[in-house]
Amino acid sequence: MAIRSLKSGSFSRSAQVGNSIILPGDYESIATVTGNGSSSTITFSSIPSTYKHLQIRWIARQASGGNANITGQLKFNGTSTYYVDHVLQAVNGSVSSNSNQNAPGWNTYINIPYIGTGSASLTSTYGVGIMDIIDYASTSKNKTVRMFYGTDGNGDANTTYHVSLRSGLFADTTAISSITITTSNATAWNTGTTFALYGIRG
Amino acid sequence: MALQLFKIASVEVATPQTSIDFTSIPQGYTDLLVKISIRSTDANINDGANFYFNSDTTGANYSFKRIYGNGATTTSDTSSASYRWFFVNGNTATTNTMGNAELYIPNYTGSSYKSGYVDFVIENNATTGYDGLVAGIWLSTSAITALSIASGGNYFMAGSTATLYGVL
Repeated sequence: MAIRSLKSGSFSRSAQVGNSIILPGDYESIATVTGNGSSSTITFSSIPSTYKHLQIRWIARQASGGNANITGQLKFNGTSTYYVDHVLQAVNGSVSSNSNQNAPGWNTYINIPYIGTGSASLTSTYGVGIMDIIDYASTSKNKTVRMFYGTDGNGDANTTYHVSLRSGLFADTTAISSITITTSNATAWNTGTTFALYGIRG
Repeated sequence: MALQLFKIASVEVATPQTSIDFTSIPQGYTDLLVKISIRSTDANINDGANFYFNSDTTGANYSFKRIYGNGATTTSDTSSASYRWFFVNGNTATTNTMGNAELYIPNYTGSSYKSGYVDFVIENNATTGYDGLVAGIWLSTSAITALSIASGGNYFMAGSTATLYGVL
């Protein structure tokens, strides 16, 4: 007998004698948040500390405002200090590396320019990215974030053409239990924007 | 079946050591993935670190192409004789902060030379921080049964971790 997923309704291979063993994997969905065209903030709260690592996969677009791209601001645990970030990027054909830091002070969030397409960008296009947070539940390490993301518009003049490898530091040894990603100019995330949070056992 | 990860082994350094080693890697997966969080005793912001496979430490059997930034400038370099593919945090970077890196090796049991890619970041509360991408090759047709992450002459500090996953 095939097994029907309660979540998706799809059928998969049966656990019948003679079939291959079905192993549960170590990569699990925790939550998915979608844009609604009116809210500028994506929030993941009550993140369990039972995984080893976290990963966020996203597609993102600004709902209104008429920009060529949208910038995100990333915070953990509702905290508004102890952040810094660096990037290796190619923007509209120009490759560069830069930092966003106020040493010896700190920034109030991890800045993520070009996290998504702007509302003026080519219709129906979204920025895409993956973010990895290693040892997010550690109580002895600061949290270092690594993200790879980009935007493209198939030649459209109002789209930013961009790809980045960005790092961010949250200099706090508290386990991460919540994550917020807010647009920098208070414009909303467009419908179709999706941020999916996964836990990885280890 | 959808792509899925399966933990093979996880290592956390308890006292400073020169390498993290995975041995007896099962051969039943499609690809390998390693998630890495390391800080070394090197008295710099960053420290070069090595990947080598099946205990092969002959530099001539490895090569890589890499691009990285240091917060101000970008560098593209290559080597035809090195397994020192990536950076980890050194001990002058911001306290309690470790590098964040990932190594992906497709078809690790195949009979072709083994290719891998790495993306790594080094955070630090100053202008200097590193973000880099690497494509590397191990010039061997052997299946990978062991994988080492080794310091370039220093020690990985306590709390450094690496988790090896099989990908199906």
